Amino acid sequence: MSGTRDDSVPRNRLPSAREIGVDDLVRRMFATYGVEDVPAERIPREPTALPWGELKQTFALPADIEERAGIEIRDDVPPDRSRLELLLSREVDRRTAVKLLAIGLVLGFGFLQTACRALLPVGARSDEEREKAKLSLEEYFKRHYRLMTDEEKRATIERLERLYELETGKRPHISTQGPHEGVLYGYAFNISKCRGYLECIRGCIEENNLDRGTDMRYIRIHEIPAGGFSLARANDSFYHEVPAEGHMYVGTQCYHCENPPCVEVCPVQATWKEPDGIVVVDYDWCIGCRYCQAACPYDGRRFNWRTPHVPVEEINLNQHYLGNRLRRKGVMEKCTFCIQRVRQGRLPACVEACPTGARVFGNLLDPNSEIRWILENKKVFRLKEDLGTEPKFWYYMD
Amino acid sequence: MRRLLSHMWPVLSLLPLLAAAVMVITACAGNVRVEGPSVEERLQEAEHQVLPTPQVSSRPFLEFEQYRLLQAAAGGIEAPPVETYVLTRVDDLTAYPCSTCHVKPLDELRAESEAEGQLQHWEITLNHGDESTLTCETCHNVNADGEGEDTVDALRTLAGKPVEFDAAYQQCAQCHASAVEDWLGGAHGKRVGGWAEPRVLQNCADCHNPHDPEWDVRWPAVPPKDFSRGRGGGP
Repeated sequence: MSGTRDDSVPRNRLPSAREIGVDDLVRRMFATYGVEDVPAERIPREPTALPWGELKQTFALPADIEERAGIEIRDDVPPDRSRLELLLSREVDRRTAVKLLAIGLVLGFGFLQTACRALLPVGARSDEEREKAKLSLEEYFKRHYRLMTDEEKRATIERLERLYELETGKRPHISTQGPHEGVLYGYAFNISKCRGYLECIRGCIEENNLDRGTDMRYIRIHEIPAGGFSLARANDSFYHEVPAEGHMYVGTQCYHCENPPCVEVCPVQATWKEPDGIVVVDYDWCIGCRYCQAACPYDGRRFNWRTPHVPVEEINLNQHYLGNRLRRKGVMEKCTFCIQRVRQGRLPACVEACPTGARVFGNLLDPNSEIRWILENKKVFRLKEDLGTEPKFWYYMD
Repeated sequence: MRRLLSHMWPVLSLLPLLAAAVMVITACAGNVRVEGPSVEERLQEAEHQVLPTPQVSSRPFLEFEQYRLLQAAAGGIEAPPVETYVLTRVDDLTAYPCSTCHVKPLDELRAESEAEGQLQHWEITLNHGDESTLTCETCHNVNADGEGEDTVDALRTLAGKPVEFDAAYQQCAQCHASAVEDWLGGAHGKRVGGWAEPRVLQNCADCHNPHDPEWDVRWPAVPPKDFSRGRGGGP
């Protein structure tokens, strides 16, 4: 927060626009949403009592905006808060909304409070709440992960770590470690070894902070009855002693395709393929449209229908921005080959958890790696190869 | 001609529809394929390049493991192209060295413990191969009476050569040659620590009980959530 608090000001009074850093916020809102038709120097620097007519001019709003919304606001006096809120609640485009929010700030109402209550530092009762609100608001205006500078990355990590600490008292370590040069990750699955123990799923849930409330699983193990490899006849929610007589077990998860169709369909580029071959999601850029889920031919993507819940004592604090950090409601998530682990040189949690050795992981670009030995010495296949998606996930047999 | 047309009109009117359907189907089939380089092409391309060695190591995650360099030369095992380590066994054994007790012939020891009413190794039941193929003596040098080659503190190959417990994979390799080949290549068994160097493998007996190698039939680790009664089991 910029500015200092005057101790003589009663606690229950809403802090002024200046106290919460208004210019800064307005400028940033404009920068984020590309509202270039308002010259920055015309934005009032402190709360003012500008009449509505003048405000419309300053913020380059159409002259008949209130008329079109069916609201009456006098041009020669400052608009009152309820009128502005009413206007904002009408169907306005994003740029207009940003401008109206900015006008609210300039007029010194604790105005955004209504629009995005949880995000605003205004009116928060304790210092902790105010800090949380301020951090959340800043988070709201950050950029796409791939456009962030190192400094911006550092700042968002600091905010995310602090936010979780404020909420639970535990501070995670969120890494932004990039890909290693000369590495392309690949995975192999031995279908003659898997016995359906589901240790991989347990390992994955614990490692990746998956929602404990719903049946969120990145991995599915399909129990296929003998007589041909058919996923259509498979059961992926079995619960009986395994391995069952006359059945085979085949695991599926995100295959990290070289030509990922999910990436192609994302309308906001919130998902992409990293140079080391891992397909990742920027959880804070995803709009939850689920196009990627529809485009994936392998059922590799999962959607958060509700806020994921992980008990504080079970949380994995070793996190990555593009990996197992905590997700929100309404965003996509999926297997990341445990990006937080593999970029440290470790194996994905499913590989480590598998007691049968059915899962193999390694560097495809290293000709001496285990995964390459399998590709060169075993009979391997991939699912739906004819689609040209080029999964980096092979199945093989003993 | 007119007459023919008037009779054929139902069929003829279907023709454009059919053509449209064929076009849609072919267009769809064409669109489904995602274009881009294949992994194979990428790997072939990489063969002609000098790639940097990834600056990453498994070592920090091997801190609590004990491992030794693979003893390749013996047992007909071919050395893999990368330096390979195997987890040691001796530190896992509860009654090692064997020579602490096995200083007398086996018959005498057995008679003693029967007299005491306290059998040793009672928890071990040999359930590996059958009695005509495998007995204790097939792998253990139980009647050894000397040092060096003829030690009780090592396993024994079929030809009577000693094999250290840490290199027990050589013992297994005598019969399970293809499994050991897969193990060394990377298609069988498990790596420890990470995917990066150094390469450390689990020993055969870390997963397979050599006396009873059959795997368990057991319940899966995760039960499915029951959604039949409203929200599934969560808070």
